[in-house]
Amino acid sequence: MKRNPVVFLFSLCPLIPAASRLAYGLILGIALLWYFLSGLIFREMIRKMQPGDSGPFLELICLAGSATLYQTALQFLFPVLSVSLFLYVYLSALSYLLLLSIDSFPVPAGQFIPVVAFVPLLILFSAFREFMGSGTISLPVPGGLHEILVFPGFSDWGLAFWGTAGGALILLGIMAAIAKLVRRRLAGFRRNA
Amino acid sequence: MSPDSTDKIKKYFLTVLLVSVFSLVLVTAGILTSNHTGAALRRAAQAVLADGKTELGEPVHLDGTGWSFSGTYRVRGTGRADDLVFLVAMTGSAGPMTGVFLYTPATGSSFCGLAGITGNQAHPETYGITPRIINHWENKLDRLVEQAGGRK
Repeated sequence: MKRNPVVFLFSLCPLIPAASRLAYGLILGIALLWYFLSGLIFREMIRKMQPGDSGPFLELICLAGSATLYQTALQFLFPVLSVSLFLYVYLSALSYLLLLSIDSFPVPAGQFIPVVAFVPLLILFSAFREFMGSGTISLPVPGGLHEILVFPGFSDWGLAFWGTAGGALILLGIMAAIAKLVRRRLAGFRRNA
Repeated sequence: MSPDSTDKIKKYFLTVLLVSVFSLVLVTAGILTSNHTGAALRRAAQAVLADGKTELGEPVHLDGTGWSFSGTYRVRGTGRADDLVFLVAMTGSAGPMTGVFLYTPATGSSFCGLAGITGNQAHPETYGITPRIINHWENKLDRLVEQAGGRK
């Protein structure tokens, strides 16, 4: 139970190089939601088939297929971004598996849905890195990235560091510390109440 | 046949059916979208190669390369039969971008620009693509063409 926030943030690690722009964060966030929804459907189908011990392997095959189908849809909608994010769409499936592993910890049912909570975090994390790094906000368009310049000169003021992988790891560390602090405070309030 | 055997055969059949249907959906989706995707990638690469001298031809597959190099095109024009244009995913310090490279046998690979930037087409370093990363990819593409030599 105590490890949940660590596993939660560790799920971001495979996506750190790509979670540098809002456009990428949106695409990868939707990918995770797609794995979640298609996973629910496939899990139900596989449960009805009663395949026994091979059930988890079938679910993994379905996850790989879901990732490939998402990559195909991405190629159709955002062809240029599909080249940039080719590897990261499949890495997002790995992040999804890590998030699913949180469920194996004794979490009260319905109180913690890791994937649903992870998606806004990923999008905010990407937007923050882009905004701090270059002062822009980007959106996915069929031709590639559409950048909206919010604050000119951000990249020249020494804040570009937050857009890099090194800055992202420090940001993750700060987020983990905040999450730990909030949990401790909440636990303290509950004890006193 | 015992009820147990019938049950096992039914499970195997359903498993094979699920995997087959899913594979069929993936292949069909790939075939249906390939033309649209190919045309969009060509347009994006052509926009970067806006020198008026380089026109993209047919897509080509180099032996020994995987899906990462599926965006490889010949160049149209006389005397340019061996020239190639590559679209590759380059991961810089600020995330992945799609780079466009032109290969000619005389000069080797050279970086032309980043595809898919519709706002300000700034210097590649603004997007975390440093000269070192560009050099890495130029050398890699030169080696790739050399290894595929004559087999493309």
